[in-house]
Amino acid sequence: MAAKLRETAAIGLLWGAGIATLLILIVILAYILVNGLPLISWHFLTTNPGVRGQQGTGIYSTIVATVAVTGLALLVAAPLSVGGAIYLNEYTKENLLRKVFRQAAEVLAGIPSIIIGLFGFLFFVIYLQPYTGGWSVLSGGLTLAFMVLPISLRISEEALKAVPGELREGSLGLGATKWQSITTVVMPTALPGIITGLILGAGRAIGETAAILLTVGGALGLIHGVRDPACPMTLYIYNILTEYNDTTTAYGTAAVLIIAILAITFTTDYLMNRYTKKLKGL
Amino acid sequence: MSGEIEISIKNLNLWFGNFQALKNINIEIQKNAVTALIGPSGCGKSTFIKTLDRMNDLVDNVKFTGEVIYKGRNILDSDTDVVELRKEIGMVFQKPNPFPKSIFDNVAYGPRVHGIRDKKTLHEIAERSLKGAAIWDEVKDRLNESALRLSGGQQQRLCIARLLAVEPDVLLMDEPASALDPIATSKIEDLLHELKKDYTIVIVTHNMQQAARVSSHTAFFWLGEIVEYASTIDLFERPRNKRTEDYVTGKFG
Amino acid sequence: MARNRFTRKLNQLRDDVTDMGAITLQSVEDALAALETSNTALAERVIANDNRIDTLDRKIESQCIKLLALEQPMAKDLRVIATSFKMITDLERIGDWTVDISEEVVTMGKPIHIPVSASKFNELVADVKAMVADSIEAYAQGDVQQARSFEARDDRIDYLYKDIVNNMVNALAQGKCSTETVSDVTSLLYIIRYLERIADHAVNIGNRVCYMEEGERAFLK
Ligand SMILES: Nc1ncnc2c1ncn2[C@@H]1O[C@H](COP(=O)(O)OP(=O)(O)O)[C@@H](O)[C@H]1O
Ligand SMILES: [Mg+2]
Repeated sequence: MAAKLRETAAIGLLWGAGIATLLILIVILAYILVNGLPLISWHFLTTNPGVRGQQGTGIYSTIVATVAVTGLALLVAAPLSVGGAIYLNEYTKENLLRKVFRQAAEVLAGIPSIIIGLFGFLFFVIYLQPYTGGWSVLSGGLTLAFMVLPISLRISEEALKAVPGELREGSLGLGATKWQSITTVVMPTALPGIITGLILGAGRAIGETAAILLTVGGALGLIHGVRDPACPMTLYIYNILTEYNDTTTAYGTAAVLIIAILAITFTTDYLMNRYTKKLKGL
Repeated sequence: MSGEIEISIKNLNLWFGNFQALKNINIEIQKNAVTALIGPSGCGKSTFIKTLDRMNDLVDNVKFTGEVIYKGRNILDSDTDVVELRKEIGMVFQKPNPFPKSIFDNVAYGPRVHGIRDKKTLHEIAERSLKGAAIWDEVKDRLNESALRLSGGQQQRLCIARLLAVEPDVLLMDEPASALDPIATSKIEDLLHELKKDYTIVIVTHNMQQAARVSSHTAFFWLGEIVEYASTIDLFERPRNKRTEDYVTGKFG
Repeated sequence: MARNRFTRKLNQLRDDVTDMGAITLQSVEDALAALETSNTALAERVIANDNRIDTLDRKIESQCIKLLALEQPMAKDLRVIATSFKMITDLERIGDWTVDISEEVVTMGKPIHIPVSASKFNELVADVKAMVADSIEAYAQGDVQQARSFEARDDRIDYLYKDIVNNMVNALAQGKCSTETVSDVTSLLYIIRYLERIADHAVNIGNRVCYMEEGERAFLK
């Protein structure tokens, strides 16, 4: 009887925890959307920010900066992480090297973003200044790539590991080379997982502030190239709050950011579901 | 034992790390015949059959000695081109493992990786292979459907068709019917009788009646050794070895 | 030891076949005793008893079919069943020959007059009886050595059979028989023919026992 009671209590507790998490999420989303949505208009999305926190302007250049920085981070991190995952999972045996690699990725994932930012500042902004242009989209994107990399490496590896060994054996057994097996059977089967990893990484990059703070420069003008300094949305929110205490614009930008993240998450979820179903022949 | 010999195995030993999984195997596999491998679980049947197309290479820490002579060369030599070898010696697995692709793409997979791109040729190969695996009539109207929508028995015959498409000489089958119902199983068995006219077949089976029905020669494995290798009728009707006798009469295993 | 139930059934089968053998052997002995002593009552009993053998034959046959169909026996188990399956036919035939002998005894209805050497005739009778007994024993014990001896013993029986037939035919031809004894001689000709056939079945059983024990079917005739 006591065991039964304890079980009921445990389930209740877990259920409570789940509900609490959901509630917190809803409260945050609702709070920001309620405060931010009224500000969003075509004008808001397509006009550049004014100087010195001038009211009635938009956030166009910050959206462009976010897309540019995130895109660049993905562009760098995707081939590295997917390639790395393939190498680790398909070409190395379970040995020390593999452990070291995996551990390294884990450590990288665990480093506080401000420290990554500091590294980015010292390495890309200062040391490689002649190439990156100092504070720039390029420096920011490359720094963010370090944050995307471990997440998507880890998830890609899991996705590859989840591909049944029988499929590899089936392909090799038909006289395909290892590389043919990877490109024609393993990768297509693992694709949903790999994409999910990249999207999670992109989510992390879009939302990142600390690593950006020290590397992109925060210039509000519209960028014309990757070596221009820029100010992505997150940094913009931080700046207008700390410098001008402009909560209205901050809420508006935050709402745009959140809607963008939600949209990306749900769209990829939907597409991946369809793809997986197609793979399973449903 | 009469008849032409396709593969001849001499003093084959194999280790996984320190564990010896195959001990001094010496047998000759007849051409255009079905050779069955029986024995309790874990006695090395799969390991043995995988040695014949070097699939054990995928395992860490595997070591082997001895000779597997096929077409006049020792395929265990380190300079063997395993990719080429696997075109000649193909494998069907216990669990049907069609690729998550269409039925057509499954059959065309082998020819494609071997460089055939012409649509018409691919279609001809696909049709011939699917007919060879006795599944053409069931799938000819749905070649673009996902292979995963087929039943288990159909999937297994598709996997056989997929293998036939690369025109191997030897078909290795590791318990190909153990996951199938009796009707699907008897279709596979009928198919084996057809296939042996053109191919040399080595089949692992847990089912002694199946071995008795499909094969002309049977090897009994026990703890990594071949205890007895004889014509199937001899092995089941008058085994020479006490262990074989005890195994086939169900006294252990 | 796995398959206890099956092993029990297999032992049961061997016991049943051995029992059928014992009953058949009893018929052989009774029929020959009836012949020696012109005991028509005993002969009638042998005839009446034959349906017991037939019943056992059918019962064991279905036992064998069931075991073959349901247990898929292999190796020695398979050979025991295959041997039993065929051997009951031999026993059943032996039973039929004892009926035929007994019918001759009943027909004659009186002590018979043997126009040839009685010692050879008695030897034939004793040999056939012993061979039937030994074949059943060989099956029960799996005694290959015993089973192997039957070929040679059968040669002796064939020799005795031919010799007696020749002598009787000669006796008939030389008119040594009275009209009264002619019918006895014909009956006797039949009887020794039946005895010779019984011995052949005993030889069959011996060969089947060799197959059961050693798996060699080659010398089965
Ligand atoms: N990759 C492996 N690493 C280590 N041991 C293995 C491996 N594969 C098989 N074995 C061992 O080798 C023995 C033979 O296995 P296997 O050939 O699969 O047996 P079977 O197919 O006859 O059931 C077993 O004891 C098994 O545990
Ligand atoms: Mg196996």
